[in-house]
Order: sequence, then structure tokens, then C-alpha cells
Amino acid sequence: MKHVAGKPKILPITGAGAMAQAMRQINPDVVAAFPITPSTQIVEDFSQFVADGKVDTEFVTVESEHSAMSACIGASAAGGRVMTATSSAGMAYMWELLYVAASMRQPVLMSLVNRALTGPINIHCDHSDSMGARDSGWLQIYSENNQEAYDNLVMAARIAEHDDVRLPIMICQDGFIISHSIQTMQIEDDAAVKAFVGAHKPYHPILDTKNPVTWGALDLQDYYIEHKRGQEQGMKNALRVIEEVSVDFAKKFGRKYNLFETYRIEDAEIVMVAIGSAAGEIKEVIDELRTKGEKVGLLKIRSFRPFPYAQIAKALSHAQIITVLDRSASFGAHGPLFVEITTSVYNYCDNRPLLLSHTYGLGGRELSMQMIEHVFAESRICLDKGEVNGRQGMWLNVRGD
Amino acid sequence: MSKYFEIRWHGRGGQGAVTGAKSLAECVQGTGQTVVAFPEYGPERRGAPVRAYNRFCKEHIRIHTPVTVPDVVIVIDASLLTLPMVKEGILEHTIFLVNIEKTPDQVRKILGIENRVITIPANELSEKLFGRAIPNSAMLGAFAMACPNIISLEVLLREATHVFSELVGADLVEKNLQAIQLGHDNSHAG
Repeated sequence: MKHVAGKPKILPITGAGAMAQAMRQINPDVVAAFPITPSTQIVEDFSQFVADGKVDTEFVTVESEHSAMSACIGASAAGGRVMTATSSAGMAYMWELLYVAASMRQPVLMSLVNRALTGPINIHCDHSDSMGARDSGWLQIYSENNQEAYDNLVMAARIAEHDDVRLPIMICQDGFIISHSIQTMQIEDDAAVKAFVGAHKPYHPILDTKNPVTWGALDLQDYYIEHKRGQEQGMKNALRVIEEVSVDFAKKFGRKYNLFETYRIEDAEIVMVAIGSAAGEIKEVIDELRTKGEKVGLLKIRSFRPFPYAQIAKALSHAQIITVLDRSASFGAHGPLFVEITTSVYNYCDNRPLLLSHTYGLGGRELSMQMIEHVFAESRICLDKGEVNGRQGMWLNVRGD
Repeated sequence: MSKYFEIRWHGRGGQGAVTGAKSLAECVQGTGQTVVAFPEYGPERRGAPVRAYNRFCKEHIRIHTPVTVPDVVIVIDASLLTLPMVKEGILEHTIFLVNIEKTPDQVRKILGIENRVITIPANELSEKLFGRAIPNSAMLGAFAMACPNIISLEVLLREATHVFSELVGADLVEKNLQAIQLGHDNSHAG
């Protein structure tokens, strides 16, 4: 990539390539990673930057994701700014350590490329990997396209490392659909990104041998729960910090983000709620249906952890039916997004809309615009009837259903 | 008709359909349009039919789904012409750009369609230039002949200079520019 100092560059680049560019600009102290499809290009590109001397990063080529996250936690506790990238089974193999990173309050920055979990064996997009980790204590920010994924990663350090937060963060993008798709986007100037991200401030680092500390100690009935309560406080504070950092980002780079995005919902009777790349197709369908007079809109999740219950409830306070699309399944229960939206609406506002839950896109099954249009039409039928019975919890575009 | 200009590439694994879509997008980016390029995501098997896609638009491109109603179908491997997938979703205005040593009429007969067809002996041209069949650059030149409203030959040559210097290195840029020019000049429209 050619670079002109001081100027952003508009160029076509894959979602994974954009993440590697953000990592190059952030120039972390340590990256420990083990490549896995579809996040491989992030690690490949970044290791090239290391080899070419474009970053000062210590790149640790570990033998597994379990070791990758272990190395990240150790390097973070030592006082470094630390990043990694993974997907699916890779993150599943980090599982034990995800909780350790969060409980040790190490603000590790992860670029997660969402992919289905095996089995059956599948490498394509769904949100099972990150949704399964929703209770691990990591902040989770989701992206609709390459630009958002890049912007979110540029904002990640400021959010995760904030004194009031101090929690690890995963910036999620849809596997293949975004990670392998070349899209026109804007890469900001290196120096501008560097200035925005700022220097890393180590927090009681192990390497400060004059002030020795212990990290990751045994913590039983006496204090464990206080430390967990502290994590929860960090999450609660993160809602404010995400907003603050996003406002600052908009001032600096012009692109505005919030805890979630609303699209044409002011007078919408039917509101679809979704996460990730599907929002693009949904917006396209909304524009089409609006020309026919259908009052439809979208609420797209950006921050899933922490979940902005009150803010979302307010945004949905005029909707008559809310149709939630989950790209992961919680077998024997409704999808995780539906559960959160229901909690949000029924506890944080007086509106009592119909709520319709659908699961879609597991293992990369396409969500076509025709299907989205169908779901809007179905939502309209439910609204006219005043009930969703029989349709609740249906999976979209599945043989035999 | 969609507000997006949509292209579907057909090739076989290893022939460069994905690289072709990527290179075209990178060149069209230079015209100020918003571009998207992506492959059909599946197992990579040399020789198996593969598809790749482009969307171009003056506005932000929001959709990520495969192209089902193409404005242009680019066929890199003529042996794929007999497969029904090549004709999927085509409309009257859909243009076929085919790497083949035949006339547009002959290709229309194979496909059983009335659409506009551009043929280009890109394998032959690249054999002469590079000593092997790497048809992509000649195909790009033929594309500029077929769709000058998307990218003119002049702009394509200018943008390809940057794109190819990153893709294949400075020493091969000149040959690829020649291939683009030859592809443009030797394509047959009908």
C-alpha cells in the first residue's frame, strides 16, 4: 500500500487486510497468534509487517491458540499493549484463557473473524464463536463492513485500556462475507491513528520490579466474588467509554458510531434487529419497502457486551413488532440476541410490542434480500393478527422447515 | 435494474477468476467509483468451476450477497459455456465476455442466447506474451472495450500500472499493459 503522509487513503481492501493495517498503525508491543481460517490473512499480513520492519512488535509464533492467549495475558500483565486475531475453533481453544484475561483485567485486543463452530466441519460465517463467549467478560463490538471493522479496531485500545474499563475486547467481523471481500474503504493516516490511539499506560506491570505485584493469584470464597463484581463494573463503565471514544473518533475522522445504529426506525412499525453484515442487505430491503409505503426499520447492534439495554429500549419504544435475527443458536432456547432484546424492551420501557425470533445463516447459509423481504412480510402478517404464534423461533431458509 | 453494476466471473480453480475480479475492482476504484470484489467461498480445488463477483457503484455498496442478476458475465474458461450456471439470472442486456477463439455468433449458438457477446482469444495472446496461458490482463482489456462506461482503456492502463506493480512487481508491469492493450484491440464484439 502506498502511503502519503498526512492523508487518508481510499482503497479497496479485504476486511482481514484492513484489520492488519489497523494493527500496523497501532503498532502493539506484542502479538501472539496462531492462524486459522478465515482470520489467517490478518496474521499473515501482520507477520509480513514485522518481517519488513514496519512495526516494532514482538511477534510470538505460538503452537496453539491456547498458548496465543496465554502469551497475550502474560505480555499484557508485563505491561505491553497486546493484540491477537482468531476465529471459531481457534477462539474455542482459547476458552479457558478468555476468562483469565478478563478476570485479570488485561485489555488484550482481539480481531475476531466470526466463523461457525465444528461440527459438522464448517469454515463459514455465523456468530457461534463470539456468542458462546458472551459471558467470558470480554467487550464485544460487531462490524457491518470493512470500514466499520477497521474503525472499531482503531477505537479498541482506547476503550479496553481506559482506567474505568480495563477489560479485553474483541472486534468482530463476519467471516468471508467481510474478511475476504474487497471493499472500498478509507484507511486513515498512520500518524493520525497513532495520535488517536495514544501511548499505552502499563497498569502495575510485572516488569516494574521495584514495585512487585502478583497477577492471577488464587482467590477463593474470601474475595473471588468482589473481583467478579469489579469486572461487572468495568463492563457497566464501558457503555459510557464506548460512547466517549466514538464521539472523539467522529471528531477526528468524521465517521459517527454509537452503541448501536438505527436505520429509518423513527416511525417504523416493524423493526428488524440484527448483527453484522446482514444489516447491509436489510437496509437495502428497507429502502425498497419504504418506497411501497411499508413502515420498516432496522436496529443494528454494535456493542453486544456490554449490552445497552436502556438505550435500545428507548430506541424501540415505538415499534409495534420487533423481529430479531440471530446468527447463532442456543439449542433449547431462543437465540442470544432475541433474549437480550426481549429483556431490553420488557424491562426498560413501557412499550409492549410483539417480539419475533428467527435463526438464520448458520455455517454461512446465505441470507438473501428476498428472504429478508419475506421476513418483513411475515412480520406484517403477525402484526395484523396481533400474535406471532406458530412462527416464533423459526429458522430461516432451512430444508424441511 | 439494480443501481449496482454487477459482474459474475466464471473460471476454473487456478485460472485467476478471483484475481481478475480483484484486479478489475482495484482499477475501477481509480475512476472514483465504489467497488467490491469477492470470490464464491468454498473449498479451493484446482480445475473445479469457481465464481467471483464484482459490484461497482457511485454510492456506498451495502450488499454482500453473490451476484444473481449480472450485467456482465465473464467466462475465463470456454469449457464452462455448456454449464447452466453461466446463464443463471441473465437479462436481455447482460453482456458475455468470453475467452475463446470463436466468433460472438458461434458463442451465442453454444449458449443458446441472443445477448451481446464479446470474444477474446486471451489464452493465445498471453501465450505469445508470457509463454503460458494467463488470460487475466487480456480479459481486462476486453472488458474496457465491452464496458467503456465503467472504465475506459486509457484509465484502465493508467490504473493497471499501479495495481500490477503491487501485484506482479515492476518488471512485469509493461507486459501486462501490453496484454491489456492487445486484449482490447483483439476482442470481437457482436
